[in-house]
Amino acid sequence: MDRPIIRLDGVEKYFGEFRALAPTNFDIARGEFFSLLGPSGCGKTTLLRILAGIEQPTRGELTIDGAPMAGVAANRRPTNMVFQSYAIFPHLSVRENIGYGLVYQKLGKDEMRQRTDAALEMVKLTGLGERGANQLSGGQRQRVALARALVCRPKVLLLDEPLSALDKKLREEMQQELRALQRQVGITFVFVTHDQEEALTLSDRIAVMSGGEVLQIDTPQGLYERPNCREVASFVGTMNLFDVRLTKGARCGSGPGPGRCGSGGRGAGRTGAGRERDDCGAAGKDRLELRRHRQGHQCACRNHRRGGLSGRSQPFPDHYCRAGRTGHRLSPEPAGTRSHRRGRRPRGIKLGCQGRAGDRTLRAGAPSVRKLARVEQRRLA
Amino acid sequence: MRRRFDLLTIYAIFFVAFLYGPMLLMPIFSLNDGNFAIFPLKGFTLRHYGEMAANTSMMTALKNSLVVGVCVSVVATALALPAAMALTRYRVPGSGPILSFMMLPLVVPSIVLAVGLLVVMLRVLGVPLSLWTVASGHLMLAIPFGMTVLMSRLEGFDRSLEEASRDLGAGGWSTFRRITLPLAAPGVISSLLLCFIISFDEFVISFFLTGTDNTLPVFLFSQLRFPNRLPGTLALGSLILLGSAIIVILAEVVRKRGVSSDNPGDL
Amino acid sequence: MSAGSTRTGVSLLSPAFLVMVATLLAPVVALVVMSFWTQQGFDVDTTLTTANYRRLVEPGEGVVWYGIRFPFAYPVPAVLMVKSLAMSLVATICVIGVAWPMAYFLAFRVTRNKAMWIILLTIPFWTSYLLRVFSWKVVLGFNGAINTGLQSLGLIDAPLEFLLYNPIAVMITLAHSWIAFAVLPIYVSLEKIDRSLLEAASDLGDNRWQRFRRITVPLSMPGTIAATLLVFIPTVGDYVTPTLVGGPGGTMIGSLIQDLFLKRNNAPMGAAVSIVMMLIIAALVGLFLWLIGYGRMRKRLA
Repeated sequence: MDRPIIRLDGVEKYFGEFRALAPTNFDIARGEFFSLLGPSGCGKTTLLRILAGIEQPTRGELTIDGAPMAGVAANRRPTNMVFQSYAIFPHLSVRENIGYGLVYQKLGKDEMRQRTDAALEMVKLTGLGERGANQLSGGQRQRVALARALVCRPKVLLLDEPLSALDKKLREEMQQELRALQRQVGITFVFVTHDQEEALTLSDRIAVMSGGEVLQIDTPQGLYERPNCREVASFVGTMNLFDVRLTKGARCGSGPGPGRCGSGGRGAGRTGAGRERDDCGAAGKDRLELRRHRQGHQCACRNHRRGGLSGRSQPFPDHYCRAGRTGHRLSPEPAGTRSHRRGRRPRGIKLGCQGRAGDRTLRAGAPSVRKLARVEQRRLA
Repeated sequence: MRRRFDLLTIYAIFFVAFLYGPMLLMPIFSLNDGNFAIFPLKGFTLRHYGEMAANTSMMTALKNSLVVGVCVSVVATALALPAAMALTRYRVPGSGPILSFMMLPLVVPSIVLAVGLLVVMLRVLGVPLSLWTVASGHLMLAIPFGMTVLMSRLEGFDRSLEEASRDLGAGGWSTFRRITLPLAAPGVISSLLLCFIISFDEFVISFFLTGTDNTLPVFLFSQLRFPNRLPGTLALGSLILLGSAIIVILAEVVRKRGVSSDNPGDL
Repeated sequence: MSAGSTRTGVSLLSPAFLVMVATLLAPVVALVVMSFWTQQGFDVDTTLTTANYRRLVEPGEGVVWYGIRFPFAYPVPAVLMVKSLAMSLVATICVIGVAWPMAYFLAFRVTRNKAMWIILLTIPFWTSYLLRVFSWKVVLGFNGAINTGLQSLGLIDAPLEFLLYNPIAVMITLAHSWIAFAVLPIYVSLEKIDRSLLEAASDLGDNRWQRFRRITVPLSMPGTIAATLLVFIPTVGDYVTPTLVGGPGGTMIGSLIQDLFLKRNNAPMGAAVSIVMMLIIAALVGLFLWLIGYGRMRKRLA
């Protein structure tokens, strides 16, 4: 029973020379609400289309409910899809759209009608069955697309950014409905989105993707607490992210943790974004807190121990910086203060700002952070 | 601003008058009760049309043109639809050059196409000239037009509609029948009409490739050198113009209506 | 998607493609081959030779045509070629000049009934070419509409003879017959211009005329060039117009090809003339596109 509904084994996709999807391995459990999260062009839609059978993987094996999917066309798969554009057939009525796939399920006339009606009711479109696709609002089109896919009772429902075309209010409403619907029908949902908030709200588990690779798969909480690399950390949550690098022999803390962090020396001098990932071990508990000093033009790095703090909810002058290595607890407040007073960076700690959130807070004008940014500019220059 | 607008509008009216003026003389003279196409007009008559209907060789030519036109339009559209689908929906190696090649009849002077076909028919294949050879030439002219119309139609609707159909369980043929064909229908109809018009009005290729059977334009051409048959010829020409205009309007209206109806929110 | 769908795509495309190969490529190849054959009385000698081409450039006494000397033993094709090119060029320039304002009107001034205007311009595009040409014979003829009309109004006593059967009549007719082909491509390229570009140009200080010259005209170039070629190329080889309204003075290269094939029974020479005509057109088109920097322009506007 606990066999995964979807298993990807080295699935890889090339379009000509372009690698759209790196070899990917993971399982999706039965009944899960699973999201593929990433910026546009990260390969999430390609992966979804491979699941649907619209694209064939270049290499690797895909199993759905124990059955290998190689050579199984889209129309023979136990999956159905909600398209980003909804793909409502413009020449058919709502009812005909919903009944489109049922034709292939060898049902009696009555049963077809019954199931279509049930589907209309499920998505709260009862009474609109005779409308044409062009007489529907965006939200209604979305519901038709959903009903049309669900009425076929797929083992897996694939959703390609289904909410991105809706305005904010409607989107939030549909999120709730979608989640409720998934619990109600109990079908596995694979949901593609570029909206991290949406993914965090809806999903049981999330796969964060970038550049055709799956970077991390975890629960929303897990991703938030333990991002395994910089890209995940920057994509999940709107927090300020700083590079923190420990140089050999540096004393970087007066806290109870190991005071010396010599192993970090390997990282010295590395600036490439891809390689920086090595520097960011999971740092669930060890958070660096960057805080404006009460006296003003000073900044400090301090270890922050408790979880549950988020960059979003925190008032302005506090910026949380997540990085560092597990086991290294960095809280050089006095040292940092001093070193800044001397016009030097905190000893052994290199600070860098990255990401939109960082830029935004910097622009907001915290003097300490501005100063910090200047320091960093010098470093990078 | 106001002045500019007026000047340009006046220009446009003159333009349309210039475009249609000469052609409108034909129906005028064909209804004139005289044996020459000259002013002043003498009076209204339909006798030229009556004489024309009694002309058996003309009626044969009309029948030939209709048969060739219908066949060409059906075959050209039947060939152009899958080709247009291949070029808009599938990755075909070398599709760019292939498309350019297939669009060549739009620019190559038709006399070159005509004499080339003549050489192939007589020298290479050794087939006698007949309506079949005419039809094959018309087919070559009509396919690029049909493809242009159908490709723009197919590009006009979202590919994901067909993917959705596959996803919902429909096979390739079923998707074509239930989604592609109904959505492309306006394009198919206007392709049929326009290919018919091309064949029906085509002269140069018919002139070179026809055997003993005349098509209507070839018959018309043969009549042009007899001045005393001029009003009859004008009557025939007027009818052809009228028929063509109706078919073109029909084709355009179908195409425009089809295009606008699947843009939601767009009236 | 890739392998399977490529196969499907190829199999969908191939019927139409094969028909086009048989009816378009094969005839051109046959023409090329035939142009290397020679006509011997009633028979065709199928030994390959360049005799036809040599005959076209064989030096001889030649003729003088409009002050240009054609020093060939068989100068007719050369004269007609130059004449056809010149006449089509004039007709094409007229067509573009007349069609451009109309396309501009359609794209920028017409707001209501646009579809009606477009259909109005499309109808002549599709209706019988033969009839459109013939209608000019009715207009310009010795007993045509202009002459008899003016006579009946008492403006002239005798018919004006210079109206029909001369190069001017051919050029007017050519321009009229092809004008509908030119409006639509220009219109499409004008219609595609994002109106905010024009607003941006005004915002940056252009007045109406400068804006027209610096934004509208350059952005309409793809359509204008397409229209130019769409009119120029087929008119060079036109056969119907010179036959109907050209008279002896208005003949063009297309008439010669027809003559060689159907009347003089010298198909190989006709084939050679056709091939040379196409090569010259292709060379001129290539030169034209190179001169205006079409490749660069297309890359930038793509």
